[in-house]
This record gives sequence, C-alpha cells and structure tokens, in this order.
Amino acid sequence: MMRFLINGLLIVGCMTSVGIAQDGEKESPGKLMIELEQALPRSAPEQGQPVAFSHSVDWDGAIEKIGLILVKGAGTKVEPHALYMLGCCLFNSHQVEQSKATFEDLKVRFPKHALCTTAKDQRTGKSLVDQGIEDCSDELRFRAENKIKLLPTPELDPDSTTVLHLTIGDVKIQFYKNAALKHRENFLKLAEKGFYDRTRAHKVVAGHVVHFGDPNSKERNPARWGKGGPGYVIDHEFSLLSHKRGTITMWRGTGRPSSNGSQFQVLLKDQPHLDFVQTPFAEIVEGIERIDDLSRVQRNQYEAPIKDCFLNGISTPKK
Amino acid sequence: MLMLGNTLGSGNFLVRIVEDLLVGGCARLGETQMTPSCARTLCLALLLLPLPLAAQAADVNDQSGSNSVSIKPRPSPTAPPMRRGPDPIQKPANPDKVRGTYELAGEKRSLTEGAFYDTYLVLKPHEDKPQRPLQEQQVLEHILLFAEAQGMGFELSADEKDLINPLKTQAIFKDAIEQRMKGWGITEDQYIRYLAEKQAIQRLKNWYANSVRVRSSEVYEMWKRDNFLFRVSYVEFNADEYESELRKKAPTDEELQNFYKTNPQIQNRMRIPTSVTADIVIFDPSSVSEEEIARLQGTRKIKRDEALVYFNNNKERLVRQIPSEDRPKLYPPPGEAPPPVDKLVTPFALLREQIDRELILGNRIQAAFDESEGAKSPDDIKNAAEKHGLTHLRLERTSRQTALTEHVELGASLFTDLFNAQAGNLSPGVQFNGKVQFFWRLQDKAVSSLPPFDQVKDQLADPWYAQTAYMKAQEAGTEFLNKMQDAVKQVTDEQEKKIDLEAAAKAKAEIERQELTNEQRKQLEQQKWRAWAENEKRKIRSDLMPQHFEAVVSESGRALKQHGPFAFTFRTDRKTITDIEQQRIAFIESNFQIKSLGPGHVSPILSDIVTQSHFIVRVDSKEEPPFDDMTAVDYYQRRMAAERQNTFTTNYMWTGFQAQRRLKWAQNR
Repeated sequence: MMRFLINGLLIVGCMTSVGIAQDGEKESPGKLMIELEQALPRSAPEQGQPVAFSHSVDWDGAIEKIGLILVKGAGTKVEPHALYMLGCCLFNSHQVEQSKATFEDLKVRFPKHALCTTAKDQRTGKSLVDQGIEDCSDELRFRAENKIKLLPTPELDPDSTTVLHLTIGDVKIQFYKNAALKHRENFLKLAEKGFYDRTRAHKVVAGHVVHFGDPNSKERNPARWGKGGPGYVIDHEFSLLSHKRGTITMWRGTGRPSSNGSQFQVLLKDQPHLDFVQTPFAEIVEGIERIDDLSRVQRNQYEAPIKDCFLNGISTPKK
Repeated sequence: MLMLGNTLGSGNFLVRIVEDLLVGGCARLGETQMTPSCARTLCLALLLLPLPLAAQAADVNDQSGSNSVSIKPRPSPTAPPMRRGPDPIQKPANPDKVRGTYELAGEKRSLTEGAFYDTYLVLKPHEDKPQRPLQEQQVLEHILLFAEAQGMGFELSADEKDLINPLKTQAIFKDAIEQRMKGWGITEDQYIRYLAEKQAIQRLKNWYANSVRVRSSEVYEMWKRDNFLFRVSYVEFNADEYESELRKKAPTDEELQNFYKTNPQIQNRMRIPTSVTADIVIFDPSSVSEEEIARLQGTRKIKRDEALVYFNNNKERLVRQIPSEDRPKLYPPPGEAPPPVDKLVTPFALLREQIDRELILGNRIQAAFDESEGAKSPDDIKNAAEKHGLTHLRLERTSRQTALTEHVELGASLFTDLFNAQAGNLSPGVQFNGKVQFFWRLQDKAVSSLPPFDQVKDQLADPWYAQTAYMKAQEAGTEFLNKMQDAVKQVTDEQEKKIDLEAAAKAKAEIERQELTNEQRKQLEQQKWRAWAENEKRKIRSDLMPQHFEAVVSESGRALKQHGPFAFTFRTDRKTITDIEQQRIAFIESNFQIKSLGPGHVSPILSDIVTQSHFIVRVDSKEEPPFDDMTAVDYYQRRMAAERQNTFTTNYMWTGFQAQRRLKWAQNR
C-alpha cells in the first residue's frame, strides 16, 4: 500500500506545476520548509537528550507527511530537500528499493543541488545523495545474499483488557497479541492466584515511573521493598515495543540477565534507553492520569509514597 | 510561539523581555516591593506566556500572610550593562582587513574583521553570559556553520523570516520587544538576522541527524565482533596441585607473621570492627491510627499562627522532610513553566498537614529529647521514652554491620551519624527518616583494631596454604611462559637485532630529512622508531609462539586441554556452577583477553581467583559466525547500538570546531 502511495506521490510531485498544491492552494516555500523540518522524525539532540531509534519511529507517518509536502512544494526549493528526506525515511523503514529510486531521481533531476554535490557525508566524504545511493545498493546486495529476520509490529489485544484495582482508582491495561506472550501469561497467572493483592506501589518518581508488584511490599518494611519476587525469573522477550509513556514493562535489576518474575513499572514518560534492555508487555488504555497523580505524592527516603497506595486486586479477562 | 521557542532553543527571549519589563518597570518607578496590582499584571503576563520565568525572583512572604511579592532589584533595560572587564572582542581599526579564509564548495572565501565584528554584535545580546562571556571562537564557529547552511540552501527567505519574526507574529508584545532591543542596542534587522541564522544552523544539524541510517552489513559486522566462534587449547596451573604438597609441612611462625603483616585482605578479615553502645528513642507517627488522631484532636483546630510558630521552631528538621519531587515547586527550574504568583508554594504550605499532625500528637518526641539533653545516666533516656509512650532501643557493643542488619528500618544514615559521633554525644535534634522520628545518645564507642598475631595465629594457617599454593601455581605458569619465550627468542634473536638496526637507521634518516637540530625533537623521533621496532618484534614472536607452545607443553609433562567452538559470553551464572571443571570453562568463555586474541595467538597468564587456577591459552581458530545465527532481536539490538553511535558521531561532526576543519579555516597571522 505504502509503495503505491510513494510511487504515486513521486509521479504527482514530478507532474505538478510550480508551487500549486492539488487543492489549488499555493503555499509559500518558506512555510513548506518549516513544515518539512517539523515532519522530520528526528531533531538534532542536545547533549544528554534521548535519540529516537529507528524501531520506535512511525516511519509510515513521516513518509506520508513528507510525501504531501513534496506534492505541495513541487518546483520549489523545498522539492530536493523533501525528496532527500523521503529517501532517508524509506531506507529506515526497510523500503530500500524505493529509497534508492528516490535518491536516483533526486540526482537526475537536481544534479547541481548541494545535496548532490557539496554537502558531504562526514564519514566517507561522498555527497549525501551519492552516499544514500551507495547505502541502498549495499543494503540490496546484502539482503539478496542474506535473509534479514524482521520482528512483527506489535498489536494490542482488545480482548485482553485487565483492570488493576488501586486505592486511587481503577486502571485498565491491555496486553499484546504478538509480543511478550510469556510475560503476559506469567502476569495473568500471578494475578489469578492473588499474588499481587494488597501489594503497594513501592517506588515512585514524579512524572517518570511508578513501581508495583513486589510481594515484600505487603509487609510494612520499606527497606525491603523492591527486593522481592515470586522466586523465579523469566527470560526477556524483546520486541519492537518501545518504552513510551503508558508502557508497562517488567523490571530488570541492574546487571541482571532476566526479567524479575513479578515486579513491573508503569512509565510516565518516554525512555528509549530501556529499549531491548527491559521487556514491555502491556499498555495502559485508561486511567494513566491516576498513575501520574500517584507519582507526585510525598515519599520517604526509600522513594516509596508516605501514604500507602495498595494494589487491592486485579480483574483478569474472562477466558 | 512553538516555532519561536524552537528557534531560540534554551535562551528564552520573550520571557526575558517580560521579566525585565516588569522588574525594570518597577525599579524605574522607585519601587522595591511590587504592589498587588503589579503582581496581578505579572500573573496575567505569565498566564499569557507559557514560558519559563525565574520564579525564584518572587518570594511569597508567609510570615506576613499578605500577598505582597518582593522582587530582587535588577538593572532596567535602558541602564548601561554591567561591566565584567574589558570586552573580549574590540571594534577593528581597519574593518576591511582580512581576518582569515575558508573554502566552501571549492571556492575560497575571505572573512573580514568588519564582518566578524558585525556578527559579534548580533550574537552578543543573546549569547554573552556572565558565567560564560562570548568568545572569538564561538563567533567564528557561528560564521562557519552558517556559511555551510547557506551552501545547503538553508538560508531563510524573506517569507520565512516573517514567519519567525516575533514583531509580526507576536504583535501583542511589539512594544516590549522594541524596548528590549533598544536596551540591547540592536536594530530589528540585527535581531531577525540572529534568529534566521540560528534557524538555518539548526536546520543543517537536523538534516544530518535525519541522514543517520544503518546498513545491515554494519549491523552484521558489529554482531560478529561479539560472536566469533573460538576453538582453544590451554594448559592449567591449579593451586590444589601445590596445596597438598605444602600441607605436609606446617608453616613457621615467622612465615605466618610475615603473611599477617603484609596481607591487607587477611588483616581486613581479622579486624575487630568499631562497635557502639547507644540508646535510640523512636516514634512512628503512622503507628497512631486515624481514629486516635481524631480522638486527640477533638474539636481543636490548629490555627495558622500556632502552626507557623511550631514551623519556625523546628524549621531545620521539617524543611529536610520536603521530598525532592516537591522542591521544584519552591524553585521552578529554568525551562519549566512557573506557577502563577497566587499558587507559589512555600515550605510552610507544603508541610502544613504534617505540622498539624505533629501538634495534635503533642510533639511527644521533642519533649523526650528536651528531657534527655540533661540526662545523667542511660536509664534517664529510657525513662523519658517510657514516660512519653515512645519506643526505646538499646545497642550494646554493636558493630555497624550488625546494627544495619537488625534495624534496617531505621535507615543507613542514622548509623553513619552514630558511628561518626563521639561518646556522650546526643543527636543534633530530633531526626526523621521518612517513616519514623528518632533521636539517639552515644554512650560508648570502641574503635576498630587489629588483634595481635598470637590471638589470630591459629586462624592463619589455612589462608596461608591457599595463598602460597596459588602463588606457586602462578610461578609455574610464569616459568612455562618464559621457557616458550626463550625458545622463540633463540630463533628470532638475529631477526630482532636486524629490526633494531633498521629502526635506528630509519630514525637517523628521518632526522636528517627533517633537518632536526633540537635534541628533544630528535629523541622523540628515535622513540617513535623504537616503538615501531618493538611492534615488529612482537609480530614475529607472536607468529612463532604457537609453534613452540606444544613443544613446551610436552616437555613440561602437563596435559593440553581443548575447548570449543564457543562464542564469547558474559557468564553471570558462575556462582551457581558447582562443578570446578565447568567453572574453569566458564572463566575461559568469558575472558576478555582471549576475545581480543587472533587465531594462533598465545595468551599471557590468565588468573582466576574463583577456581584458584592460572591458564595459558592458545587460540586454535577464530571463525566468523554465519549471518543466519543472528536472531531478529540481535539484529534490532545491534542496529539500535549502531544508530546511537552514528548519531553521536554526526552530532560531534557538527560542532563548530569540526566546521573549521571541514572548511579549511586559515587564520591570517
């Protein structure tokens, strides 16, 4: 589908007359340039800021936005830049052939543009477009000789809605159909056994994360909270899931090779540095604002809320 | 607004304008305290601007209970700027003089002193900070990066400039912006030029950040490095071989005494730790039920004045109890939207609930503490605790480790303070650890000491056997390696001499070619060639070592063991392995030095304290793993790591310093 869209956009882009969008409205190249900049999935990060990794970027969304800018900006100074960025996005979304075609098209139509001449790739010294073509050729050659194993895009299972009954109100979560299935099974098994009942939120960091699921937190000794588990660990199940706000991820102690069997974290902000380090297995679909509030309560020296917040029970989906 | 915010990055222009306008405005009117109407104006401005303002400037005075806001006096925008010494960049006497040249798209360009100074004036109001004055280097980097952005066609057109011009997009602040620009001494053109050039540079960086892509071949290369398949042959030197022999004869007192004196590990094991005798009085406010609190409270309502007096008397302790996540409410950090003035919080407001609770509970622990200050015997403290219904805990000659294990709920910081105190000290007031309140008195303290040799002599024999056997095994390994190196040296001796002569000749030729006369430079050149010679000799020895390895093995009568194929792996499960042979294999499979060896190479002695063994390993083969062995998760994991690395490289490349290199900047001297 996306291939047809891209090919269609390229053709329309070539055929559209100067600066005229399909609906007849003319947009200034300056505005389009700003739109293009905003459509880019990555911005040059300041020091210490997280980088958006390719597996967590919505490439199809970015391609669609850039494609529309390409149509609107045909014949203007925006066109070669939009074509170049389209090529980059296509490459990162594994549509290598289309990416190569885009770079080649750019080179044929704008041979004297800076992207094809003076703007160099810093590692190789070639022009950005030539480097793009070379990367695509190398990738196609490599893929012809080797089969790349790609992970499926995770999908939420609407039939898996589970309710966490917290002192502060209910929170609804859903699991994935095709990712972290063992983690899902383990969580539901423990929930059905009542393992999580009357455990506390044992660690909170304002606007950042809330930790649950430690059986030690049933007792009133905060020094031992965060150190318990069900007596076993489970192997990681990494997937394309990124650690975004609302994600529920199984906790992994520093340097541990596996997931803790029961402790889980609710993330309240994006934390891409945890990708492929911890296993996300569910997502909040309702009530995240309650966890937001919980994260901001007064806490003690162990980072646990001073006023206890209990996980009173979990309602699992009916089989 | 968003666009402007992006444009300016961390330096927030509009906020500075409003801040200076209001503060400066008040200062001009001769006011040191802002009136309520003035404060309302500030609130309105803040609500209109979802941008950070230094809320630290406003400090609500709780004691007075009024809404008045005091403002730190700041110079008005029209006042001359504060001088910090001479301007680092002076106006050039000859603006047409060429400062330096650079190359862009193969074309040589000149930068004049006048153009340089113009850019300095444009940057100065925004980037010259009291902590970090604007330097020549920054101005040059800006000029070069902007030139590169121009080369890419990122220079903003007239319509783009209109879109980022706050005088056009934020008409409501037109007067404020104009006043601010007047204060800075810059024109509208200079201001728009600054915004436009910064935007073009940011665009350039964004373009490169989005050009980062990772090829599957790079991913495979990266994965391969961690997954080479090794086959190795190795010789073991185990301590247990020597220990049984050593145990036939008991160590002398002299040997044991020497062992005890020189071995810090054994000293640590024998050391008697510091112990304390102390009384601790504890009160857990949460142990009092809500019903009990309600009963105690009755119809009494704590008045604000009463609470404030209590707060002031216990300020130090109470303020420490404000959790870190609440502190930003007191001092909003730069970059975050501040709360409106009427919602600015104070420590007193944050702690009010807790203060009320403590007052209702009668402040029992403080009373016990006050009584304990004059206590003459330990029993007086116990009696004071009982009198006020508090928990009393006595530590008798207890070490820090024991105290921590047995009373973990009291927290580590209590014991740190206690063990750092002097005998007779009372804790500095009532303390709080987030859960309970407490105070302590240190009655007695015995500092750590090393017991005399005669007292521990009987416990030293076993560690002496173990350590001596381990050392003997290592000596055997060293002897083995020396034999191999000697055998190699016999063959390579002539070659090595030739290499040394060649290096000396090359150094001499290079010194002559460069016509070096400085003695230090000459020595440096000779050193460089000596290093080359050592490297060459090492290569020859490495090539020959494997040939002599097996000969020395058979001569020494030791067993040559084989292992493989295996991929290098972190064996975090070593603690769970009970079989000693498997432990040794786990050591080899996770040894970094083996991972870095090439096929045929022989390792130095590798020592493993866990199995008390030493190894000399030869890499028989090191093969690339097939691509098919890489799982999908491996693929994405490595791809992410490569992206992180490439993004870092890209960002580094776009620093101004690198721009000088790329554009071949040549300063006119």
